[in-house]
Amino acid sequence: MIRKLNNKGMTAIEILVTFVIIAIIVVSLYDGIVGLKEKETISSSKLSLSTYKNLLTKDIQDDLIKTGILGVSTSAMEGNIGYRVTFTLRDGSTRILDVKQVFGCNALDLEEAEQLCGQRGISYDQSDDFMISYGPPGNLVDYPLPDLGHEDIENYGTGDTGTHRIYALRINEVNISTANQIFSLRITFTHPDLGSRYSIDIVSPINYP
Amino acid sequence: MKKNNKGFVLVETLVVTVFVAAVFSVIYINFYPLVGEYERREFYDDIDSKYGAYWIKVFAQRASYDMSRVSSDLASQKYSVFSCSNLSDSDDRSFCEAMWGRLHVKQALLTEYELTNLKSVNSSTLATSLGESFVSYIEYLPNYTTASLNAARYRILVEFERTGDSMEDDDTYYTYSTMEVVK
Repeated sequence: MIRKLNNKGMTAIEILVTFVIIAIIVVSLYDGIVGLKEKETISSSKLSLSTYKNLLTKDIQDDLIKTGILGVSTSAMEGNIGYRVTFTLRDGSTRILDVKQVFGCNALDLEEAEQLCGQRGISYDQSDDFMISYGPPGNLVDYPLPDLGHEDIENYGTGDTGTHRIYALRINEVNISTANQIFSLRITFTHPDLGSRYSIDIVSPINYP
Repeated sequence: MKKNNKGFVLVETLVVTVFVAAVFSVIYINFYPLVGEYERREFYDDIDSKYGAYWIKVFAQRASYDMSRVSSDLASQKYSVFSCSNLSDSDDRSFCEAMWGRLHVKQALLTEYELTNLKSVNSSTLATSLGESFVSYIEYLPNYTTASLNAARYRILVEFERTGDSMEDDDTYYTYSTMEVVK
């Protein structure tokens, strides 16, 4: 028996439609994968920041809750680079919390550097320098902020050809209050993808029996 | 037997494509709320809420907190709204009121340690007085049928009202936490 083969092939319109469908599927898959990758990066950043916040909050709250605060004083760190909070606990011991907040020059060209940094007195080659330290006097433990991305920017206007570093995660604001015998501390972080929703919040009564 | 070597015609291909697309749409529509649910639960029992609830618990455990009202509320509606004004000691009351504001507490409830009775209340009835988000949190919690290791008889449930980015007007969100109350 001679079998008759179908040698007609596909028409141009069939091939065209097939290519269009495949192209649509590939483009939608690509968008989806890129979106998932971005979500994964953001989730990873959230997790790192939450872990950091939980660790620091727990270490401070453990002292404040277990022992209790007798008194709190706040001062500027030497060189005016941040805040120092000194806790006197009910057992007579002392704990110190340092929040170092030095903003680097986040400018992409000389003109921007003059506007953003020059007017605020920030050196054009200044890197970000944020650090939270906590512990008894003379034995402070550093809690460096997690590196959730950074950019090395060329120095401008100093003749220096080096770079300085600007981090994606920065300490945006520090609020300390002792009004009404309640100590409250809020250290707010800012990040391009996470906004400024993340903060370290410590609230504790002062000399509450 | 003659073999069919014609393959698919364009219309058949399109019908299958539309069918597959419809299946994916149905999966997506059903899956998407689960993602939202997961993101919402990010705000349950976070560390700030836990420490916040701890302080409300401390005030509820004070000897000056009026428990007679709590007992009658629990008998009638299965929960009692925590209020600093129920503290008879003036020092306790002023600390409680100051902490309440600073912790951004919206509302707090005292319930039995085990939540079975509270969960048996019609959820729409609870939602009318407590709000749907709070009721979702209550439904999310286990019943705590195993007795407390600290012999706690009560439980406190706290809702916090927080604000996020100060740049955005409508950025209020709520967090929830619970702690046992040893009384």
